Amino acid sequence: MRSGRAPVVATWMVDRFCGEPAVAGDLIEEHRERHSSSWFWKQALVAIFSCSGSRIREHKWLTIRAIALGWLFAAVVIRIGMKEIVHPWWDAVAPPALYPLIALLPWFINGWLIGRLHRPYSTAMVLAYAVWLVIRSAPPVYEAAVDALTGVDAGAVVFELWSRAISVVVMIGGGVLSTYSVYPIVRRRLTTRLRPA
Amino acid sequence: MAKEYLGNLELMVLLALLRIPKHAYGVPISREIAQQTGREVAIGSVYAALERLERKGFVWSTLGEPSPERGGRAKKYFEITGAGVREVQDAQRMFTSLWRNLGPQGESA
Repeated sequence: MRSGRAPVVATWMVDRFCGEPAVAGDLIEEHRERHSSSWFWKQALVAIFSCSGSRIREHKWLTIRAIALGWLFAAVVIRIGMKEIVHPWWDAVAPPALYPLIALLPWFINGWLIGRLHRPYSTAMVLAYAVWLVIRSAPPVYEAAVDALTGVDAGAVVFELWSRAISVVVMIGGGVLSTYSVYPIVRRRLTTRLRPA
Repeated sequence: MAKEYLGNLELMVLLALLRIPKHAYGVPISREIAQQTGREVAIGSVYAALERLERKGFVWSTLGEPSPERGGRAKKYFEITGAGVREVQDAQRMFTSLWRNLGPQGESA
């Protein structure tokens, strides 16, 4: 019997993305009995994509709505609001080097909003939008790669890949955090405060 | 409403449930499929199939007690319903009928 602990991050991801504690429980049980950490990670990724894929197939209209919402938010808030209004203002009042950090905030909100408005399928819908973003990133990344290969701009492809990857990761982070409810924390605090000494 | 046919994995999961008399959950189901078919099936895929089958009314589930060796998570036990058994029988009839009059290599007789 193996005594090693199951990878914490992978377990957390399965819990969050599958929304069914029994899945992670089964993986932990199997991992303890006979498997390695790499087996656990592989199984965790398969579980995440199986759970989400199944929900996306079952709720096609909800998936289209989630992608449309994400696209609309990105078009209005990120492409117009941030680039046309916030960016010029930020450069005038604050160090421009910090702007990339501020620029990621709307991506976080975008993911959070998609997750919040598509319960109980939050993570599946956020992943569907993430896949859409990755597909949409293909043409600009390809153009940047061509520029890099023809010597026009060697760094463009790295910038394109990095900025798009980090936006997707931050967006997924917002979506995952939207599945946490603040009510249990508030209730616990209130109960502690109201409990007689 | 159009009849929904079972996918390969769904049928395998239902058959595994019939073979495991009680306390069937993800781990024994996936082991039973691997043992009988020689195909390793990821636990996550088994759960995705079980979720679909439960929505179609072919299986039902109950929660067990949380245990420390599972990181405090409960087991989810699955049982096949009457509709599930009928669906498996339908699938068997359909495959038997399609196989009839075919040679051992699948050639038409």
